[in-house]
Amino acid sequence: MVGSLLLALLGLALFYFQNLVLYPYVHVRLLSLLVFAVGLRQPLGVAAAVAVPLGLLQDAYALTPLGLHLSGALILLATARSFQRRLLLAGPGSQTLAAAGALALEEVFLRLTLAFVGLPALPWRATGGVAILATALLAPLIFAGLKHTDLFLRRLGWRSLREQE
Amino acid sequence: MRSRSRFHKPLLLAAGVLLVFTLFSLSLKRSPVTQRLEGVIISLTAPGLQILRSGGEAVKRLWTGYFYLVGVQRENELLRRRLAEAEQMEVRYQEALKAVQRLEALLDLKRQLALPVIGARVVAYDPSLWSRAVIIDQGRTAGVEAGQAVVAPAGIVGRVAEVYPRHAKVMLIVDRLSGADAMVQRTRVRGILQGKGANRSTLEYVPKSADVQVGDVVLSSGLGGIYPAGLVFGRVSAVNRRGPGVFQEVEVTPAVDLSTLEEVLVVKTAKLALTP
Repeated sequence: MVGSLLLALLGLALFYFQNLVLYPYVHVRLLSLLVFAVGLRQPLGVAAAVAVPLGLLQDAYALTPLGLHLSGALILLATARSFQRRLLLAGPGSQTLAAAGALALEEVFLRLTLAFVGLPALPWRATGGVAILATALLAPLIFAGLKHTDLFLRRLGWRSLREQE
Repeated sequence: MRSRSRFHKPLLLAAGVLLVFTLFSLSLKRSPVTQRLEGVIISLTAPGLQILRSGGEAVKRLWTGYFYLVGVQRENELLRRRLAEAEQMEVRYQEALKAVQRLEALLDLKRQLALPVIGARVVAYDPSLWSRAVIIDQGRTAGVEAGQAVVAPAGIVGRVAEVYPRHAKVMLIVDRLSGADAMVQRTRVRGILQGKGANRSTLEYVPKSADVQVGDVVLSSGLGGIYPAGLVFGRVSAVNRRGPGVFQEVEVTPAVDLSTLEEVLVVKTAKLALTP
């Protein structure tokens, strides 16, 4: 419970950072990356408890139908669980590649969903691809950040996020 | 215990799919439940953004006014401190001057419009690439309603899409769902200004024979009941008559820098509900 709350708060902090510092100059999908990393490293319950509020947070600030970003977050979560079983994501290279694959899958899913509900299609632009690549390059950083958060909490006497499940 | 863990994942999956489909269908029907949910999320998170934004400005002022000068030699410390104080005052003065200029421009616009307006500050942006929207710090309690036009001194910003108790969500004119009746000031040629995402918009349904040139000012025609007539949408930045079909492609660059909005006016009278 505490782990989910902490990770959701970390997501909120990343959203604030994106809104106050990065926008409109840098487009990276930090929340998507966080959801993917949490889905990969944490138990399903914890990951779902992080993905749902962060998906809803993005939905609340956008004009797209409520549930679009939420479904994107759940797709990232499902991809992370699938990768967890099949791939060994120990090195930064594999983490970057896995994140790029998951983000690309999310992008395709969101475009298909928008088309399915009859909203005007977003043109394919290089910006989207660059945003996915730039975000994927940050994957090792987020993975390391989550690992150190875990260690920090353990040092404080808390059980690790995984153990709490 | 074992059967519980066996059903744990399928149950979570089913719950997730059910949640998404329920939210989607409610949202597409524009149910008040989803609006209330969005309102709760924005009411909980937007004040944090507001505080951090003003705090960030204070830190920025401090940085430019004082810390920039760290590293001075000891004998110059006093002079440099005075200089830092003076610079800090100068930055504050410049900030205050800019704020006064912005507010004066807004006041001028208010006089020009001669319509009842509500002043508002932009507190948050939608940072995703999927839509173009901003959150303002005035909502239902201040009299803001869905469909009202939002303007800045340089021109039209967009219209109110969703209203919450103390905040409102504004659809920018470059959003893909935004469309408004517009005309070219020089030749009175009319078309529909359609948002194209990112920072782009186009004037649609303009025949190839119509006289439209790069640099022409595009105004609101007043038809459609959303934007007051005569306000500036932007300038024509590209014209292409070589494409197929009977209409030319006219690209319009918004007059307002929609990525650095601070203060805006919500026009109270001109409004058209977004839903049927």
